[in-house]
Amino acid sequence: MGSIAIHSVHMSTPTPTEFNPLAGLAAAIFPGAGHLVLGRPKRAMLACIGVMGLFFFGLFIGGIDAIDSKNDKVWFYAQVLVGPPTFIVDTIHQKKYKAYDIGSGILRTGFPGEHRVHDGTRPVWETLSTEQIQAGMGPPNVPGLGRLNEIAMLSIVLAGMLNLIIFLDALMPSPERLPTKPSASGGEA
Amino acid sequence: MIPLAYTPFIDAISAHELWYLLIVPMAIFLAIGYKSVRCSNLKHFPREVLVFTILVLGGLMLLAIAFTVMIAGLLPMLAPMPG
Repeated sequence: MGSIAIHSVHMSTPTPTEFNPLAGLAAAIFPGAGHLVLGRPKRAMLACIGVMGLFFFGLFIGGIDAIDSKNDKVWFYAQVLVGPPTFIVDTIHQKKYKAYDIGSGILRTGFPGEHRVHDGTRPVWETLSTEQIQAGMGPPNVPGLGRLNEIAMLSIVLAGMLNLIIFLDALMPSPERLPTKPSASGGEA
Repeated sequence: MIPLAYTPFIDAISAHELWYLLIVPMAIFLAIGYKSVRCSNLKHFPREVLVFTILVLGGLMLLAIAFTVMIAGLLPMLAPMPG
C-alpha cells in the first residue's frame, strides 16, 4: 500500500530537468547540433531545417542586406541568436558589399548608379556615368526595400528566437523526451 | 565591372505585390522548428506541424480582419475626416 502511494507521488511530480552543457555548447555553435549530441538525430535534423530554413528564406527574400550589424542593429541583436551563420553573413556583407561614402566617410550600401572601387586604402563608392549604367554596371547587391526588407529581417529574427528555444531544450532536456531505447514503432520519442 | 543581374541570396527579390504570401513558408519553417522540440512523439510530427501552421496563419488572418474593420469601419465612424 505504501509503495503504491509513493509510486503515485512520483508519477504526479514533474521529472527534474537534466543539465547538459556539452549539448548546449553544440547547440550554440550550429542549430540542431545540440540534439545530435543528445542522441536525437531526427529532432536535430528537423530543428536545423526549421532554423536554417527561416534563415535562408530571409536571405532569399531580402538578399545579404537582411543582416546588417551597422545599419539594423536592433534586428541584428535578435538575428545573432542563430549563431555563427549570422556572424559569417554579416562579415561578408560588411567587407565585400559595403564601401565608404567619399563625402561623409560613412560605410554604407551602394545606391543605383554607383559602383564599388578600392582607392588604395579602403573601398569607396564611385558615381557611374550614364554609359556605364547603360552597360549594366552598378552596386554589387540590390538591397530589399519596404515590406520585403521587413519580412526578410523578421524571418531571420524568428530563426534566432526559434534557435533560442532549441538551444534551451538541448541545454536542459526533459528526461521524458530523451531516448532510452528504440521504441517498437521505430519513432524517436 | 559588376552587372546588375539578380543573384540569389545576395540581391533582394522583387515580390512587392505578393508580400503576404511570403508569410506561408515562414509559418511552415517556424512550425517545423518549434515542433521538432515540442512534439512529444515524432509519429505525430506532420499533423502537429500542419495544425500549428494553420493556427499561425489563421491567427494572422483574424488579426488582419480585425484591424481592417477597425481602420476602415470603426475609426471613420468615430472620428470622421473633415470634408
